[in-house]
Amino acid sequence: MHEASATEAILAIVERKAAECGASRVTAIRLTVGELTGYVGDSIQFYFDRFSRGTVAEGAVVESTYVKPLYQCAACGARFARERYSFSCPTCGGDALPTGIGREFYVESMEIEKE
Amino acid sequence: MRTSVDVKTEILRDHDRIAQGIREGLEARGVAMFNIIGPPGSGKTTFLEALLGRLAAIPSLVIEGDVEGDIDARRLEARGIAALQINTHGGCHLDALMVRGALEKVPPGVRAVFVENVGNLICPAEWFLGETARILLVSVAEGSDKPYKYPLAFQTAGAIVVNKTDLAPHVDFDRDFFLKGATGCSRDAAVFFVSARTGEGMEEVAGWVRARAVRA
Repeated sequence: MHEASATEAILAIVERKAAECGASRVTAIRLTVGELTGYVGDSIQFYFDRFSRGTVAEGAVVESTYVKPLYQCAACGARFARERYSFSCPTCGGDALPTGIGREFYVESMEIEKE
Repeated sequence: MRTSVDVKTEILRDHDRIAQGIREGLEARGVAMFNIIGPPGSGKTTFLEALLGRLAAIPSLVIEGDVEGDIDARRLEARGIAALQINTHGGCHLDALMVRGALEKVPPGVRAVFVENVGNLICPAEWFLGETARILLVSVAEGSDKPYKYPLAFQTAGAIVVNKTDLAPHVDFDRDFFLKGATGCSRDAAVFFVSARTGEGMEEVAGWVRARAVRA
């Protein structure tokens, strides 16, 4: 269920943009998804196929590009992706601080057809 | 003709604008709102009973979010706590539109609103409701690895409350491992260890809430 309401929001953004551009069809939608958000591209595609029936975006492929969360070491300042079950810097063992990278969730671009 | 167009639009932008409107509306009225996030069975309703019992000077109300039923709202009302129920009918989190609808029914004079989100550590973390602060509730019974598995929920919490300390002798809760993970997610969050059942540690949480409710 996590993706259902987000997919409704994606479709609204896509339909608005398609109307602005005078698109007759939307064939692909590119998303950027930070892994901290927990959104799953396959699940978004599943809901999108259902919600987009009868719209300009019916049949569009949803391509998700994932972004690994990055942390910054409080001691040495190094940036790193954390290991499983660890919040320690791989360089010096210092404590990890979140950077905001990994929380992305936006529509990057889309492919359209025009008459 | 086929062409690629830039969109560059945050997917939850419209939703977050509604949430921001809620926050500003509440601030203008001097009302604080706390979004209580935690997994099923971590003791959210018991925690609210224990907490609101210590906030007698602050007129409070609970908005209960559940997939189905009003068992929690009725339970709170039986304890003399004002409660409104929201049902998501399958939805895994509350959103700002649902909360906005419930807030319209909050009587004047209420100074603090506690929103008990749907029991879940994933989706509720993503959806801002316009709250003054988030309180994340977990319990020792669920284990000490939760910050490592659900970092966003911990990263966005103003307070991290570990409930059911009375069960600690019976479960393998690694306090140091938990704290290392919790501080890795957020250095700013206050961390409390409580037993909502016995009342241990609850006065400290009440103090934290009071300081934010009075400021609102």
